[in-house]
Amino acid sequence: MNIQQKAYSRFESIGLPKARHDDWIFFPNSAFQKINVISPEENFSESISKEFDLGIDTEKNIAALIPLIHTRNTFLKTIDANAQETGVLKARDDFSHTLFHIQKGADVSLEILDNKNEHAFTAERLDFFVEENAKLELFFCNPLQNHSLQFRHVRIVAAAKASIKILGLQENTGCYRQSFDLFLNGEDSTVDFRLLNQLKGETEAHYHLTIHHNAPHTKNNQFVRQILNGKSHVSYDGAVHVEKDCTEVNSAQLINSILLSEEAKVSVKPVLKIYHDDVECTHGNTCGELDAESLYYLQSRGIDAKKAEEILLLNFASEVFSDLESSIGRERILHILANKN
Amino acid sequence: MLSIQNLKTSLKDGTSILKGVNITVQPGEIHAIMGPNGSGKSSLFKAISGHPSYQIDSGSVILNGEDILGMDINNRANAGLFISMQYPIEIPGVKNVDFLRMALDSKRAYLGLEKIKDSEFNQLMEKYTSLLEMDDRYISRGVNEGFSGGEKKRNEILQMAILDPKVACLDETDSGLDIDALRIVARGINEMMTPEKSVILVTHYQRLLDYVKPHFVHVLRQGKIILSGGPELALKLEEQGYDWIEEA
Repeated sequence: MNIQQKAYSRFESIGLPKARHDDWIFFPNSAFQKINVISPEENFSESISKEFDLGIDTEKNIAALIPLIHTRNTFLKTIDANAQETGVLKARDDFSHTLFHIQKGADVSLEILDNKNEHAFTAERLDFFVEENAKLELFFCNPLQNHSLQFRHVRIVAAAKASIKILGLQENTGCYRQSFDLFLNGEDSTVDFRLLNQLKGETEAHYHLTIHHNAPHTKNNQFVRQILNGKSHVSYDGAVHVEKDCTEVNSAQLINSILLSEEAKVSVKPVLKIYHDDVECTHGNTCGELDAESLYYLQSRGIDAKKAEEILLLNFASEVFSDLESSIGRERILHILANKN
Repeated sequence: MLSIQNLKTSLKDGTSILKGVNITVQPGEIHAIMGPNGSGKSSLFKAISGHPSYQIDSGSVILNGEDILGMDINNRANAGLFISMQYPIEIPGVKNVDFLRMALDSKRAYLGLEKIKDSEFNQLMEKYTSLLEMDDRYISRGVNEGFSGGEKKRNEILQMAILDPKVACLDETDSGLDIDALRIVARGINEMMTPEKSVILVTHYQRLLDYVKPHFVHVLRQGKIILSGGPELALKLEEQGYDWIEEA
């Protein structure tokens, strides 16, 4: 059975999520009407080596399966050991699957560009197998686009001392859901996840992130902020799983939201499943408006109210990325923010 | 010239704060306002600067012939009113130097002037940072970010010096300052004073007034000026407190 058929078989067994499904609890059910999954007729033109387990047999997320079912072929790329590489990833079709094999010690920065197809439904899946001591930076900061319904699923398997950085600036409109399945399988592997949503209109942006700490001394940091206007809605469902015998795991999750309109909405669901004692896991969530005293302070120095608000919002936004070491993704996002506000 | 006449203010919940304050400050004058905690000293400065927590119930605040109560907060500042905060806000991520320049350019735009030139701005910064003995760290960091209480107060005086207001209202600028810092801050205030400028100081202690000599001292209690006098009044308050005023 090829991957398409396996994915379809798995999809059939789990079906579309029912109302109130725990992993889709914030997602608008009406959007499922746009999803039409049909039985695959053609085989993959390329086969994927068995060393890359895509986890299809146990997959519970339809967004991880649909791209595999409908893609025409998988884009496969190997980054050689110790190589330095930068690039962009851009899906050409409505459904796409990309698989990167990043070998030992490689240092890779990749920008994910949006699929410009404005069809009713698009879905992509990106798999990364990151070997020992390799570094991967993934970032996305697309200009405004309207997605009728878009799924993006990112699955990363990290070996010992691998360093994963995911940076996102999201300003699209429409309805989209991004899911991340991150496996820290090697000791001292790390994930740093930074996300900023600046949304307006009736945009629905939903994030589902699961970090699996499968080895000792692994770390993850999630820092997510939103500035929401209009009737926009962001949900962040962030789960951390720490397996048995994974000692000295460190996990931090911080979500801050500013709601600029009464109808904007944010939903946050932190989940911790910890099966070992010697771990440090924190999570925090704040939601509010711009600080009135800060606004007053700036205005009392002659700066008009609109500019004062812009300064504070830019500051709030930039802080998501500003403490990071310089990188292509960091600089690009900060540049976009500074020139927009 | 600043003229505050019969100023009555309250909080949004209706709590009355100022109950008819009258002060007239002529150019070249330094006034000190003293009074027990909770008497309305900070509220007076916040109210005249347009703080959104305060509503004006009656009265007028005339700055050089213009009633500023109808103005936006920023335009009151640009018209020449400066409030040094008792608890300056931290704004991390906005460099102090960029903030100062933005504030100065806002004022210049209000006055119909072009943005300040790099060389001119750098000269101003050099002059006042050396006067206030502030090193580069305080300039390149975020506004008040990680500053101690004393450093924040010094930074307020730097802002005042750069913005060159007509009337500076300094709210407990001496609190949190060590002896050396007090002397340095006082030097900054005295440097700013010219025959065209005025200063209103709120303080609890005589020690600041040893360095910045007031022409008039007022006692504010329960939202009203209950006594005014010369510099000797501050000395008497330092010695005897406030109770004798009621008894008198």
